Amino acid sequence: MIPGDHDKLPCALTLVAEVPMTRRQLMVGASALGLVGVSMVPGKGLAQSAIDPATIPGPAWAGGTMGGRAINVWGDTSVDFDPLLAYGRADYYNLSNFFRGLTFLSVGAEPQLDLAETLDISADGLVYTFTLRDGIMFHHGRKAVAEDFRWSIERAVSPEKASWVQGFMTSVAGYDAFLTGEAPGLVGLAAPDDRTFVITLAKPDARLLSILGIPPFYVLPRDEVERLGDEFLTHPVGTGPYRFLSYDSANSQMIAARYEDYIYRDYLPYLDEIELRWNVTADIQYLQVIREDADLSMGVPSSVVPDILADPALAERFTAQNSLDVNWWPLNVTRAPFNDIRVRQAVNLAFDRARSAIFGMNPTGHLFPPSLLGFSDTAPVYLHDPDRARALLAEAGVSDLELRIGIFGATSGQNVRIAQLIAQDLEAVGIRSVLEQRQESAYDVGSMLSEEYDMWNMGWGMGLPDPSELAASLFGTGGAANFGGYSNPAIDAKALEAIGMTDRAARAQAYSEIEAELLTEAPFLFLGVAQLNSLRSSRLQNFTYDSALWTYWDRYWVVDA
Amino acid sequence: MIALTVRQSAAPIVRRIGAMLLTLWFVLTLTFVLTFAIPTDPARAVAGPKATQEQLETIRLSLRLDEPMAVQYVRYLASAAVLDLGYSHSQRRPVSDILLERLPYTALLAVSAIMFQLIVGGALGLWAAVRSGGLFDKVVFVGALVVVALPQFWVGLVLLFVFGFKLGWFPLGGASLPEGLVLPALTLGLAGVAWTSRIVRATASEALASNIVLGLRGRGIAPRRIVLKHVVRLAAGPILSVLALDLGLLLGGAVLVEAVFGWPGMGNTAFQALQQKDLPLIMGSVIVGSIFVLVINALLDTARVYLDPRTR
Amino acid sequence: MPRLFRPDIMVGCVIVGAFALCAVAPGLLAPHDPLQSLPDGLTAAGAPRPPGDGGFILGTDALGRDLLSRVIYGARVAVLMAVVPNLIALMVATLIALTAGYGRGWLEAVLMRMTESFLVLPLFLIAMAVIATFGSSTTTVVLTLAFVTWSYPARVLHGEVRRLATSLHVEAARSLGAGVMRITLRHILPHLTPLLVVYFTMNAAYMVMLEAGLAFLGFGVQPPTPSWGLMLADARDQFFRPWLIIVPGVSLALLCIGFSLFGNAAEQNSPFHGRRVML
Repeated sequence: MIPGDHDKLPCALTLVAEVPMTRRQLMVGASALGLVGVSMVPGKGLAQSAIDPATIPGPAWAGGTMGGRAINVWGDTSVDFDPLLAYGRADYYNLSNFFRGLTFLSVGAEPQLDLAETLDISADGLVYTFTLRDGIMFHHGRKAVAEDFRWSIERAVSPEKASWVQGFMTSVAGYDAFLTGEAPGLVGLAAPDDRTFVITLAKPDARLLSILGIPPFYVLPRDEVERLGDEFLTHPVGTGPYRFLSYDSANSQMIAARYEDYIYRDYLPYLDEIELRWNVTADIQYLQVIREDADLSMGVPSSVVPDILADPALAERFTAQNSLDVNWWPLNVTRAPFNDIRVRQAVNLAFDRARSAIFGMNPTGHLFPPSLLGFSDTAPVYLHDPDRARALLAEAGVSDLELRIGIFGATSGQNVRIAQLIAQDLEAVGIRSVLEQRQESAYDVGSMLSEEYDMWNMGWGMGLPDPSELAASLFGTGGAANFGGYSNPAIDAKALEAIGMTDRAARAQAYSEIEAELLTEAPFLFLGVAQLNSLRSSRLQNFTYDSALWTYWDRYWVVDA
Repeated sequence: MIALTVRQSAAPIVRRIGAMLLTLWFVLTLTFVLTFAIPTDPARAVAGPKATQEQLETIRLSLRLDEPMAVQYVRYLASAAVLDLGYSHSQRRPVSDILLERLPYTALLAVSAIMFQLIVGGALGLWAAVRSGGLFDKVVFVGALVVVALPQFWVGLVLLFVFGFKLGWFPLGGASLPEGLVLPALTLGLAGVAWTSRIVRATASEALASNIVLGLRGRGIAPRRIVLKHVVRLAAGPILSVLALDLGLLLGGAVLVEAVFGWPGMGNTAFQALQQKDLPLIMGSVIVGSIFVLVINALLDTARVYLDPRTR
Repeated sequence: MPRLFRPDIMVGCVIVGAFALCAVAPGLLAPHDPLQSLPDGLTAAGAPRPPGDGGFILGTDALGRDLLSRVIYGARVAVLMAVVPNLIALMVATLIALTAGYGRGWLEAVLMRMTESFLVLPLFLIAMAVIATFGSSTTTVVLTLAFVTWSYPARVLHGEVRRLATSLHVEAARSLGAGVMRITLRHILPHLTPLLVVYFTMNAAYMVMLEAGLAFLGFGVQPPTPSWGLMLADARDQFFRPWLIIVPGVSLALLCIGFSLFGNAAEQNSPFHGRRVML
């Protein structure tokens, strides 16, 4: 992962994937991230644990006060707290409150050891041996052992679950047999004793530590999962800093309380309770925060940003961040007119994407977000050139073109506005468009998209902050989000090869070549990455955001004036 | 229903129930046809946005989506008969659980709105009748006209902004009781205030001028109580019949009001279900909503026949 | 003879007339193209302009389009929805009322049950479901509106038809050998006309409101077509710019007031005054 311009992090990060790390090196890495001045705050009457605060992963914290509660509001209409089934924001980005795993993604999507105390990587880079910390407890009172980790990770990639992370462990030994059902389990995962967990790879995989740091691979208690069944979706049980307290479906709220036996209990979390509220539409969220009825909204509409910035008191509690929410408009390459590359390029040249900046978009024109490995400033993105667009259209021999454009997730408003901008710019080069709002997400329509529309909008919130995820889902043949029908076997092969590259620079080079090729082929109207606007109340302190896990509620605290 | 049920209330109750059942069957069939036609990929909805094509195929096979329409229709009727409304994939729990949880919220909202419009509308109408021809009367008339013309969702937005945000008197959406109920009930009931006040005004004027009242007055009985009692008796009939007519519209308006305020009622549930193409939940909402209206209509009709002596 | 120059009818005329003019000849009245994002349509910060700013009488919207022009062109959709689905609904209702009221027997029972089932259904949801199924072209929206509103007038019309069918006129005509068509056209329809007029005028406002509500939730006419309901939906996250919410709302209200004034006058001057035929 290359830190982007806005991430000011020391170069020590680049060591992560290059060289097999020993325990000492990892410890050094963590403290180099600036975990300075950690105050030793004693827990509330709990047994003192022998944790060195410098080894606690995640962004910095210092000087906070224990206690208090905070409210987090979201627009989702339903939530699922099974890490494999959380597809929204309210659920997915709050999983790390309830669950934790072997590693944890800190600022810059940097994987750091979490529940694993030490890691030993073999010289050939194929065997990862984790030694777990002592005293990891599940919320229901049982100790977590290596077998739990083995079960959880195997569950995440099992064929029965058919989850979206299933394809992330293709490098693990025995994966193919497990996938086809020949083998009952994944042999590459082993738990030789209660505190030792071993992953054996069939081929090198530079992403493994990052993969383990995302919530779907966090550890779950098998007994509780099986006992609760469907109820587990709204009654999460894990090893995280907060434990489930209550779930109110009618009022769309969930309350979580500090977990007294959390592994880092002497230091974190600060808050006694956090309340999650969903079903709060974006036009109401920021109003609630301004009125201090809620403490954090991560969905401030871009239309009110100028007003928020105009008020100094509000402006200092507002942050605009680049997210890993890739936004692009797939073109239906399975039929005319977009089966002609010139028409596709013309559309990219015709649209002045800079205009979408006021609608919550960072219009980079890339597919990759700026902070992603493989993002290159020299990529051949399209500049606004309507004359050239017209020339290309003439060359392709198309005239009197009318496009059917689908706008999905139309309730958001921003998509509708951007669609109208696109329609205007296309009109200027002689292409007419018919827009159709659809309330559902494009994913619900799936394969029928290419039958109904020439062009539509898509958003993909990257779960794994690694370009291999985009390769698999967006432009890989048969990818989960590839409904436009684009298929390029050369790119597929290159992407597959890049997974195994351990040399970071070589990997970056491979992916930037892939993106350059994609830009030239233009199977999409390239837009950029969504801007994430957040507003917090005056009470909330130490707000840190990162694109992979978004929030770190265990280290925010509140001050009540 | 007015013309027919007047006739039928004299007939055995069995005919009434039979008619209701027939209507219900129409409702079920229409709902089925409609939701069957909605284009959606249920496999995708179950699997989530990040599933691959192969995963979808597996799920599609397991959902038995290939059965002919007639078979599904029969199965649908059979399960409706035992009140098994299916499983909602967007909320991952049985539809009946969801509706049982949400119906009281809509009922509460509707009842509050109706009470609001009866009380305020009644008071305004009475006062206008008493001051008949005066400035207040004209103001109420114009006011009623304007209020009815205002789009409900617009009124909701404005009230939310002014009283919720600017003044902070009420919460910004949500279902806290009783504060969260005020603005949505007000919005929903506002249009009803208009016609209620007009009916009450008309009947009150009639009552005031009627011979009965004059006669009673002549005997020295306190005018206020007479008027009130007489007006209520006179107005009850028309109000109840328009209320019955209005109920369907009220619940329809509830969808918009619930959407604006985020009120967790059936309207909002159905709207979200439509957004997510959650077919069982859509069907369940429509059916339960219809049954609700059907039953309330029958009750209102009975009440009206009982209260209004003229229709006996 | 109803007095046509009462103040309320005059006001109604002026209002509806003004909007009808906007609907018929918007190009003459609108200062700008309603679909075009104007170069100075947004402030330097990228925000919509308030009314009066930069020469825009009613200000601009989030895409920098002139609000006045969009309101004028929006009248097109509003007036269209007030008239066409209204007529279709009334035609369907009349047809069904005639068939049921004149046909009697089981046909009547079935048709009336069907009418009643439509009255019981949550029509707003049905409208959304139909549009979700068949798409949201203008034609679909018009037909859907008619589809969900025909049952209201059908019921009362049916009562009227039945009353007329058993009246002395019709009995006499029938005994003289008149056929069904002749009876319908000469004896029944003319008596229904006042009722139809009342319903048309009173429904007009309701249709406009219904379409605005559907458009607000995304189920009406599609962008970038200017529709007042769509403009309101677009303004939802613009609380700090109240004119974006006020202007379309007031337009809707004005048009409905205009139709209501007509409707009131029509109802009061019809033989059905006082029979609570209102919607």
